[in-house]
Amino acid sequence: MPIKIEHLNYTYDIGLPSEREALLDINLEFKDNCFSALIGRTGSGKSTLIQELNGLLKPNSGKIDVNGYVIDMSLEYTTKKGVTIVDQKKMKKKLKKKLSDIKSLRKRVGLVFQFPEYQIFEETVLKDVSYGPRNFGATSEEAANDAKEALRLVGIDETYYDRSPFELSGGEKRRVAIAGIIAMKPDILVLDEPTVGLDRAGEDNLMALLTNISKSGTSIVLSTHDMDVVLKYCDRAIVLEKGKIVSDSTPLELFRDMSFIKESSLEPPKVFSFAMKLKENGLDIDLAKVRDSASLADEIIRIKGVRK
Amino acid sequence: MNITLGKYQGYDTVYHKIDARIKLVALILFMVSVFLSYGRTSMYGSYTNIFMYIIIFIMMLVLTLTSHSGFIQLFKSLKALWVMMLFLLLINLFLPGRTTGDIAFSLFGRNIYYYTIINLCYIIIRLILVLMMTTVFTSTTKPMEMTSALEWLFYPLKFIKVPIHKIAMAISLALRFIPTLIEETNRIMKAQASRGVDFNQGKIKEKIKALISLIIPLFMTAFTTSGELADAMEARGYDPDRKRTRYKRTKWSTQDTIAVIVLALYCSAMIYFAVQRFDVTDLFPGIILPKLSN
Repeated sequence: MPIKIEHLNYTYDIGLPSEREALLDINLEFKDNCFSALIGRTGSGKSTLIQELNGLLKPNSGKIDVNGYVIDMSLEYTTKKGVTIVDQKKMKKKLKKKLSDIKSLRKRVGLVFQFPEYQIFEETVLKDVSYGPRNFGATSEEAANDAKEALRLVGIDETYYDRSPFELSGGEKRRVAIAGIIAMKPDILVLDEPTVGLDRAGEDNLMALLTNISKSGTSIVLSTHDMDVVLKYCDRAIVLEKGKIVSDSTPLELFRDMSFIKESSLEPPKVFSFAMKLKENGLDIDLAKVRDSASLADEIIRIKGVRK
Repeated sequence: MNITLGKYQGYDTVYHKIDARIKLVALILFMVSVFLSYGRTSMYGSYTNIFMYIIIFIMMLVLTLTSHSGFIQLFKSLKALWVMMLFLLLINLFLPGRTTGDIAFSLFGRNIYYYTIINLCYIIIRLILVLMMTTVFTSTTKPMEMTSALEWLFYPLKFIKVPIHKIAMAISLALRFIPTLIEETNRIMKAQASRGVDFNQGKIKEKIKALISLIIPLFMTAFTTSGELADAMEARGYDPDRKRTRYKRTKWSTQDTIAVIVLALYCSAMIYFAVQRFDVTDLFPGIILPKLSN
């Protein structure tokens, strides 16, 4: 499901002393079946952009088109004096009609917040996961089925169904919370820093799960500052800095551009730096194939040949 | 959800710089001046009261506007108070009160006196004035300054063995966590909204469910945070019984002196009017006003 963002601007607390520009003239397009990463430091606007995607925040100006569901704030007109202003009244009227239907957008774009385990509130795991589908009009039976499927996908087995979600461990809670979004069967899954606070194994588990979901046809957009994740799993890397998009390419192109990496003080994955060093020293490594330590090892074996 | 009323706003005005203790005392004295009774208890008594309220209102208006305390938000928030006003109205109209004086009209077989209606107007006007004052105070004073001001005010209680340090710490922690809780509320609301919860529309049953999905996670995080905070404080050697030093020292400046003088003038004027039974008819001798109460 394609998403198209045009000239989007967003400012927090307009008119207050704490006013802060979060997004500046964002132009972005997500095609079907993508696995994209939003990269940037804290305060670069990642979380804000993510919340724009399912209408939790409305842009101050600009346009978002999620597969035909358009939030258009660009109702500008030029006055006699030649000043361009936004027709607030018309916009509000138009938006009101649109916003009464915002649930349909939220169903299509599933948003997983940072530390999603805080959204859990029901008495049992199964009830909590089926809460989302129930809100979108599924009968309790359908919702339970969707929930069971989602739980199976995240690797939570039947023995957990009737347990209280508050007794689970941190990693399990997070998987239950993510299942709560997956159960809604969104067309695009957006995750804000999904791997924060997980150990290496938990992170690998979660990313493998996301890869699975992606293969079943759901687009995935995630924000992260873990470059290893970007290199290993994503096919597109968008770098945000102070509310602007400063780079939009594949991870390979991004990490190859050493001067840019240095400039924006990103830390390239260690595996990738290592491969670059090897290449500098004469080993003819195909950088496109290096995604983690295992694939780097394979590449070295390919070039050097295996001694038997 | 947008909660701006009463939240500290970091503008740079004179009111922000005045010592919080002066502002706190001023707040109390302003409130007292609102609740004083003005005028001779004559047939024109209520006119004097309303006259004084108008003067106080204009002063408050100037204060609110010059201190950027969000005048519009204030009146928007009054919309939320209408339930309370309705309640006051019903109580005042139907509780047995005064049974003499002029009858305005009869309702459900009960006589409604002018006196009751005027009294009711007083209550609402006082409520609005007090709300304005408190908004100016809270939006120009940082929570921490507020607590030290409270601590200073409660200082005499120390001699009757009231643990003011502990109370002040509790208050400052509570104030400190209001913005955090608001932020947390916003975050959980957004997370639940992405799960299809609609906090604005729907039947009562759905609304209750929506609220539950907000309150339970909120309580969970509040308990976790407070537990963690207590641990962190203990880890840094917090001892409630020890004497505490202050991080911020306040310095007396010229504007503080001016503020005290203005405050003293205001109070003496108000007390003078109240005690001397100043009446609005003194200003306009011979004026004939319709009789309102006795």
